[in-house]
Amino acid sequence: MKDLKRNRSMMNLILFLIILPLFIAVVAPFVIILKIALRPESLATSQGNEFLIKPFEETAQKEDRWEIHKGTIVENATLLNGETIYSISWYFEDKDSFLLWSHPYKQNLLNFENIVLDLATTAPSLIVGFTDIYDHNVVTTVDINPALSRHTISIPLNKFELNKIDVQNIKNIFILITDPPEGSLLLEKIVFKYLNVTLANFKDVLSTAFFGRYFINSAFISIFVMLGNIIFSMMAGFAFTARSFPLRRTFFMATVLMIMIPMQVLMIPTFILIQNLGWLNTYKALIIPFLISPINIFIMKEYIAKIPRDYAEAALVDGASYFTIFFKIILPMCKPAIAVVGINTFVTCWNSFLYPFILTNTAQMRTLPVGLALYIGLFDLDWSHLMAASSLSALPVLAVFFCFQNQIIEGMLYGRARHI
Amino acid sequence: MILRTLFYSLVFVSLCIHPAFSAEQVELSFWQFVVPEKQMRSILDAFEEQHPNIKVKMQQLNWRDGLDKITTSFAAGTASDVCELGSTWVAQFAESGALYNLSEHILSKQYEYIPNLLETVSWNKRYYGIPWVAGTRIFFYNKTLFEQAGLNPENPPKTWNEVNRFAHQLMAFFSSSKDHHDCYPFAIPIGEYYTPWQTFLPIVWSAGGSIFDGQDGEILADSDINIEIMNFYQDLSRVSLLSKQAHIDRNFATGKVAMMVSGGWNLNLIPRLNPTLDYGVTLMPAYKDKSVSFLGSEVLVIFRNTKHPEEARLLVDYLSSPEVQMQIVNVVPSFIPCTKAGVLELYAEAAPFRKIFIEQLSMAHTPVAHPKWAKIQNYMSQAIEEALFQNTSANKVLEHLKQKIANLMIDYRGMTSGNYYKSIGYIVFLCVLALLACIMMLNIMKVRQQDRVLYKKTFQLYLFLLPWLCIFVVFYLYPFIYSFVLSFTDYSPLKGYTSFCGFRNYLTVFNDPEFRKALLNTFIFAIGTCTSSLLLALFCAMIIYRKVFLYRWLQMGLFAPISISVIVAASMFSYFYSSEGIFNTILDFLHLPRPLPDNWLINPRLSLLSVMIMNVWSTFGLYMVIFTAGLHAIPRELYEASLIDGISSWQRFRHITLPQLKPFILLVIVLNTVKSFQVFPEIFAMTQGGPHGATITLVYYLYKTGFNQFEMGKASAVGYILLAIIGIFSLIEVYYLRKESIYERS
Repeated sequence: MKDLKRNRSMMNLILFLIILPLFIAVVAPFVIILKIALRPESLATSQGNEFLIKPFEETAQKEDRWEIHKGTIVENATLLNGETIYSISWYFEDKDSFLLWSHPYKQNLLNFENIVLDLATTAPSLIVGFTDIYDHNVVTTVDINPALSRHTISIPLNKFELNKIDVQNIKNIFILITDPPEGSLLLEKIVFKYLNVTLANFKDVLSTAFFGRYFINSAFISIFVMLGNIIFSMMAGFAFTARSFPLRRTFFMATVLMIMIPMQVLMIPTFILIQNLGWLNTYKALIIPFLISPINIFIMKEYIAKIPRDYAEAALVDGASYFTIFFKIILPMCKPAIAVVGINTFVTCWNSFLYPFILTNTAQMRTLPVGLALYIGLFDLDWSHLMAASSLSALPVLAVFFCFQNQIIEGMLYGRARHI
Repeated sequence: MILRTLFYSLVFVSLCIHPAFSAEQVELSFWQFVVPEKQMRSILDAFEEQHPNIKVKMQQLNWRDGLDKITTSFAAGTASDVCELGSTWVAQFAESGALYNLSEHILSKQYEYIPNLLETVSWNKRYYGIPWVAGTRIFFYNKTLFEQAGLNPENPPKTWNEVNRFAHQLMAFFSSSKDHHDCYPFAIPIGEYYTPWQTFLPIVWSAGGSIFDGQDGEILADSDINIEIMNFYQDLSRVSLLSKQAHIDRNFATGKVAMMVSGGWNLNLIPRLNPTLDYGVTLMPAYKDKSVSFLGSEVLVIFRNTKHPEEARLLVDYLSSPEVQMQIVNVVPSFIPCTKAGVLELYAEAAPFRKIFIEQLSMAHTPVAHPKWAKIQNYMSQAIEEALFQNTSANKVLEHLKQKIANLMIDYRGMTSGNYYKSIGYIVFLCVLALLACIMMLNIMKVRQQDRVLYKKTFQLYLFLLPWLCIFVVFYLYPFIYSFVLSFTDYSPLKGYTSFCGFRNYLTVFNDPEFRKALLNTFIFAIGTCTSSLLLALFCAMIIYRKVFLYRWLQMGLFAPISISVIVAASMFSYFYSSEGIFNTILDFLHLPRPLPDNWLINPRLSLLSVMIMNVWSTFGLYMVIFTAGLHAIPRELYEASLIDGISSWQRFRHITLPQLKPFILLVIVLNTVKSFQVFPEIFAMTQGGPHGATITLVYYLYKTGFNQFEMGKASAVGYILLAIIGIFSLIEVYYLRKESIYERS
């Protein structure tokens, strides 16, 4: 007996090793999805973990735009509270590029760990700060060691009060020198060091006004559709198998036909119909047409047909109605089919895209996949946010499956082992 | 009493007539693509402030599916009031009478717009849209690579012949240098509908050639100059990266491509991906004497069926005003304003790279506005792909192209221009009723002969069927019959239909070589994915059933791909299949040669296989769960008995497991057949049927016909052909498996 057991565990190990590569291959894309979602700038930072701002001495055209030229302070002093401020307001490369920090790309200040300034200056201290597109400022003061001729100053970003500005829409970074009135500053470069791992993408996604709403919509619709499908397809499946009655064959053949027609063909008629019913942009349009799906009826009918008829016939002879038979006999025996139909419907509905996209018109009614698709542009993808959002949207499905996988399988066991 | 009521109602009525009260709130809907939701909202808020009685509801569309939404809504008569369209779509919508005539509006400001752009919004000498923002293409080159290859980085190519010369020089350098083995001198966009011709046509235009000059013009596709250019392009393609535009941009940004033709979005993309890239931009090279580029624009249109044309015009006026255009081009820097004043204003303050775009604008052409442009561009892209992938001679390709366009024009001119009927709702309704009545009659006749008493109880069964029946008749049967009727008409979602055309749709479809290719691909796809995911699922289920270590986690991991939306999965896999993706890395690691071209989705031999792999990856988990459940349902006694008898494990599998699993296998096979014959989102998101039709499947063909070319009648016919195919297949499967199981039982 012991031998058998050892043999068994040996066998298990071998099987485990066989399936492992497959498992890794299947799961690998998820790891990559998560990795991209957790990386500050997704695929962009594959080389080097920093974001660099170059000096700007190349073209003559830039000379008069910026107040600093070749590292020395150009006489551009402003008087503020009686103090002389040399403002080296430094736009990235050129004026337009502040868009680097704004919407479609959303390079977020929270993605960075610190900034490193590489410079040489005679000033004893510098004020470094950011301005966002609404002209809000945050600043911090850095002391300079006068003994050195070159300075590499690393400023952790948490020294700034970042909650005071719009971190996603930064217009520029600036360096102010309040004192002394004269001096020089040679700026080599500014390097933004990325964080290794950040939750900023998730935070962005969740703080998008409508993400929660998409989520609730998706959950609400999917649960309703799932429940409806389970109940209605079981009822229909039962009716189709209980006994012969007029129209049975016709109805069932019609159902099977519907499985085979691609939904793109039915799209325009369905849309016209829903529009005539006045259901556009309502939950009704997203739920009611999907409460039954032919494939589920097919599955249920096939399953119920496998249940021995003796019970039902005996009950019928005893004078039970079909309702009693359905609730007392068929329903408890259908658990495996319920599990299959439930999972299939929930997942399909959770991920369905085309109908929700066409049938809704406002952001309040969008479902998750419709919201996700907005991250995909014509020529560019917002990878980090797309991946963060899609891992968030995959989570409930996986959680539900993981929690209920025992029930699903045991339910199936129960149904079969007892009655067959 | 009566008098008093009368008095009040009079007061009420007069109040209603009074202008102060009748200036009611008007709600306009506005659908657009280019501007992010937030920024657009603030622009619209400013408009609402100026016009307090107008509310604007904005809907952001995405590029992939926006056109479907517009089409479908238009067919149902609920399209938005104001909408943004791509400039190449305008003619199609205008021709079908979908758009409000804006000639008056344009003529009053005719000279403010860039003249080229007005051509794209005109059809039959009337103007149907207002150019909103424009975009053009310029030439990008990598200075570092130029320098390394011994070229002067400050001297970009001025002519296409120079491009070719430089490309060959760069190629010689790349093949001799170790660090540059994966670099390409030039890149040619391919594998999409629009980008291939957007790069190819400017060369033709620059040489003074043309492919197609509008409806009445001669089709010059196979002129000598075109053949010369196609030969040149073929020559250039040997040293070029052939890929999708987005992938080319990415490769250029990472320094793997030395020269490319691309658009303004790169000015943002490059600093984001690789801030240290040293690159230059210049005007498009000339082929003979002048530099020519492609010019496209986004156009604002008002749909005919709007209820508030006046207010819609106010909105269009506001949105196309120079100030708003400036706001938009500041938010979306890949665009340029469409008015001369706006261009000058932008030029004054633009960065040097952006100035090149504005300079190019005066040397950019727009393609001819034609309602059949969707098809023509498809033909052109196909011709280019054919020339580059299959090395067919330029002569042949262009002759073929000419033939296709000529046929299309004959069809187009021959189209019946009778009255268009919008709705066939009542016909369908009658059909449904007639069908139901027929069935009822037949069955009632049957009932009469049988025992009626027995049916009293049967009535309960109808109650069970009731919810199903209601939804079924309304949401399945009605659309089903509707589209069935459509398949016998020349219905277009934009125009409606003119007449019954019998089986013509079915015949045209069968005679279309593209359809036959789609049919073949679908069969390969279905058979390949069905068998492989079935075997894989069965295999995994067998292992997990034995409760190996961590089996729960294994099971969840294998099931997980289902939880990812297909769109996301497709984007991920497009990245994996690209040159720098994981599949090529594995090949490199194993020291196997990379395929050529090494982007799997662009490679005509691998693309279908690639999509199949992804499909199996995303679907087999569900089948595995079904099989696991099935295995658990097998009574243990059977196994115990077999242990005592001492049969081998193969025999046990063959004679106990398989027969017991049969119902589940049947279920999975049918599910899988249906799903893989109807494969669509994967194809749509990853390859769009390309390259050169290598991945076109039936449902994709259907979609393209119905929603890109607006031949819904034909598309419906494809749907019913597909139905017949799936039906036959499923019947065979069910019949075969059932027969076998009966045989085994006996």
